[in-house]
Amino acid sequence: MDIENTQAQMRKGVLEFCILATLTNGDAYPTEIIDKMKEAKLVVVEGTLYPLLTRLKNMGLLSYRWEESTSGPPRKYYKLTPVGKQFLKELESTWDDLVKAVNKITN
Amino acid sequence: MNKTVNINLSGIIFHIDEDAYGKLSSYLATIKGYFSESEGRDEIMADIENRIAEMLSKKISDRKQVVLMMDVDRVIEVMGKPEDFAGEKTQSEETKKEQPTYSSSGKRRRVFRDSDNSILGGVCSGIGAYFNIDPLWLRLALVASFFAFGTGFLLYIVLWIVIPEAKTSAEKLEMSGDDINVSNIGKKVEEEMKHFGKKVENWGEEVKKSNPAKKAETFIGKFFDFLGSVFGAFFKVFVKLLGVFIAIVGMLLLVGMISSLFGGTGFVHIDGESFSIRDGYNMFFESQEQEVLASFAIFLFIGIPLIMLVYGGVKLLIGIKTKNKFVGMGAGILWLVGLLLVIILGNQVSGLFAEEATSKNIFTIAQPKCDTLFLKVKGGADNYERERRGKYLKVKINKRNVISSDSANLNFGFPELNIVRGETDSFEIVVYGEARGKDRKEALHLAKNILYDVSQKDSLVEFASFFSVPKDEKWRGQQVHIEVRVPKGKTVFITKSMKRIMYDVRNETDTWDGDMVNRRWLMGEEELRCLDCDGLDTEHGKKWKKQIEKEISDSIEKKISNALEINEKD
Repeated sequence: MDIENTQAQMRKGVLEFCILATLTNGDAYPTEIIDKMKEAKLVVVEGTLYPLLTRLKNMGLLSYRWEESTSGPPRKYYKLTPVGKQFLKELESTWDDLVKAVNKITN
Repeated sequence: MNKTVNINLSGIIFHIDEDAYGKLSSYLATIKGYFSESEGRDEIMADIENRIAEMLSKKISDRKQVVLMMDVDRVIEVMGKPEDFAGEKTQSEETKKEQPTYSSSGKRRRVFRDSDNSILGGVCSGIGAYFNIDPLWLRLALVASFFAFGTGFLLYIVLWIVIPEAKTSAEKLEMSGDDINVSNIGKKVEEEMKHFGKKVENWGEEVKKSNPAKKAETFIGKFFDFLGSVFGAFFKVFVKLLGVFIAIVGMLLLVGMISSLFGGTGFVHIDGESFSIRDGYNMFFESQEQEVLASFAIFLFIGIPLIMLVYGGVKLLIGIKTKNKFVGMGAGILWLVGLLLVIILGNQVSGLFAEEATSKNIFTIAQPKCDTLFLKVKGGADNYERERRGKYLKVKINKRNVISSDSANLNFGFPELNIVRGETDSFEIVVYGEARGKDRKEALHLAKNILYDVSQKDSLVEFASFFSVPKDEKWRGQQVHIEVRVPKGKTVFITKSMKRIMYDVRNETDTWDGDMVNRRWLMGEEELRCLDCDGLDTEHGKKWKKQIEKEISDSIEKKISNALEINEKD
């Protein structure tokens, strides 16, 4: 297994967590989510996001609504469901534990 | 200059360059192939298309109205390569435990001419890509079939016209898309069933709330949808098989026609033996020009429909939908030319048959002492032999060549014999030879040249069972009629072998020819009367007997009633 693959796998592992996290500050449509991810250099290509969003939605963590746009096709605004919020909380604590654990080991 | 295509992405219309369209659609199709139905493929695709529409709509303006290749490249760069999706897939697989099912609807495989790897028209390399064979073998097979009367050449031309060239990159991708084979079709059916199962599940929950009538309705609808998709898959296989069948039959007929037109034998079958069309030429046509004309006429008139048959079969087989107008039009025009040639030829040939002439040949007969003439066919009816030496066929009747294909003369026929009342006191036999020709002189010449043999031994007259024509003469409807003239009050005995040449011999009882044999017949006022037909127990004879009896009893009744009437008047 080469280094790039490992890096990609690590990034992908936290991707779902990050998607849910971007939605805590309010609803967003995919392009906004992607922009935030790109800013943080988490997502390299956009295509990877759509299957994840669909899956999270199917798991009942996200819900969506359509909104008309002035400059293009209608936008799909995603929103955290109560289950999603609960799920996110658990992930956040897991993430904290993980960061602590990793820090402990690497330092 | 570039052609543009109108597409609808998430409800927005884009004008897009044709090559850019090809790339975009194959890109989307490839992505689609990475997801299975259960992962929500339709939804993911809708989202991706939505995002692409958004990106593209930012790229166009009033001044730049068309989506270019560049824009599509940019979109693909941002969205990522399908392989990246695959990476994502493996990650999600871990949580889902489901085997990836790559959709066979992702890339449909179609036949194109591969002009990138072509030697002539790219036919072989295109077909090679379709069937996953090295085009070298196809090329070798093609070159080999050039020597089979040039059929390979013809086939190549047909395929060159039929198969479209792969122009866009999407078409080039489709050249070697998903294999079309049994396992693939199986996969497709399986996928449909899975899809169906899932739909049933969804709909099961849905209908729990709705009324039973609607439930049944939806179920039936879904069921037929499912049946439809299964039958659809089988139908596709069937259509392909049909295509193969039609193409092969067409090819065989074409090869048969060409080989019989320009070379060996075959195609035309007479009496279980095959003859080439050329064999018939010598005896039919007058000049070389007519023979050439006939070859062209036959080639166009029969060959064009056969070529179209092959064309249709190949089209079915490889599922080409594009209609090439020039093919249909060209074929139609060529066929009409063929039809015209056939008409011209028909006209010329009918000219060759314009006049009719009859020759009359009276055989003098030594009158039999006992006033009965015995009639017989020489050698009996069954003396008929066939001989085949190499490619030469000989048909012999009574040890005499009647058909010989080496001289290409099919000059033979059976005479027709009738028995009539003679005007004189003696038996006479008259042989009429009939023939046609372009003028009376030729017709008469041909009629006189018909060879027919009659001989006599005491009171037995022997007729040949066939007539023939000199080898170098043309066939112009030669025919032989024999008239046996029997004086009133004299009798003939018709032996069994006569059955073969008798043709509607008139007699008082309207007895059929077949029933007339092995009996003595007396010439009455006009017609023959049977002398020993008491034992005639055929259906026809019985019927006749009944009729006569009825007529007799009717006439007796009439006479009686007339007599009674007269009595009453008195």
